[in-house]
Amino acid sequence: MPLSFSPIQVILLLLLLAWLVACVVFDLRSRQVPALLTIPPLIISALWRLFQGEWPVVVLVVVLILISDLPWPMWHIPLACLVTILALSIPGTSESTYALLVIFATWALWEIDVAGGADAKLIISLVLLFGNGLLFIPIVLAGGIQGLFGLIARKKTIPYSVAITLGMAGWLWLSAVR
Amino acid sequence: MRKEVRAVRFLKDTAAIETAEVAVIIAVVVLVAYGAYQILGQKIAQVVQDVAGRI
Repeated sequence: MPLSFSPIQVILLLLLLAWLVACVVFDLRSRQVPALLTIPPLIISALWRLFQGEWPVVVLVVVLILISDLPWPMWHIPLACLVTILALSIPGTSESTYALLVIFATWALWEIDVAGGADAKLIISLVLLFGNGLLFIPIVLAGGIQGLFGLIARKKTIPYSVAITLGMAGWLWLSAVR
Repeated sequence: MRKEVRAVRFLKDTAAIETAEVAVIIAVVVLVAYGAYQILGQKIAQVVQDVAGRI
């Protein structure tokens, strides 16, 4: 089935790809992604989501960021759970429900030191940009496959931005084909 | 004395580290959760609606 995109969509997709490739390059070199490549996209995608009228998702991201700086670490996760439940109680589409859940899960993984901050920001930016948490499934699948290869190669850490880029590309392709 | 400014920890973290084991575990957990939701989601919603109807 042939895919068709408008010229503006093609330009936006190329920009998105260029951004992710830049993140992958930094990740492969140093296991770090500079704030310049993670914070502006996070702000832009949050503004885009606000423009789309889905403010609960953006509010959740802002509140989670603030919660992570509270002086009582043991209360971070319970507080975040509470805020996420409150956000879920606001009527919305199933896509925005998935988005809220994925944003919470990604932030929680970072909070318990399982995920890197740059990876978490990349995932949250993409979820905000597309407004659909289902994007997380191909990303974690790609991450799982990458992790398996990492285990076989006896590597302790993997550059997760590769999985994020591949997962996002797969999700875009699946969405376009459907 | 210089006051310590509380920075936004999440935004300042530039680390892109994931352990291979964790990536595999997360993939398995998400797959199982999504699969369970696909299989049981409608039934659970029906039960919740039945209970809500009785109340």
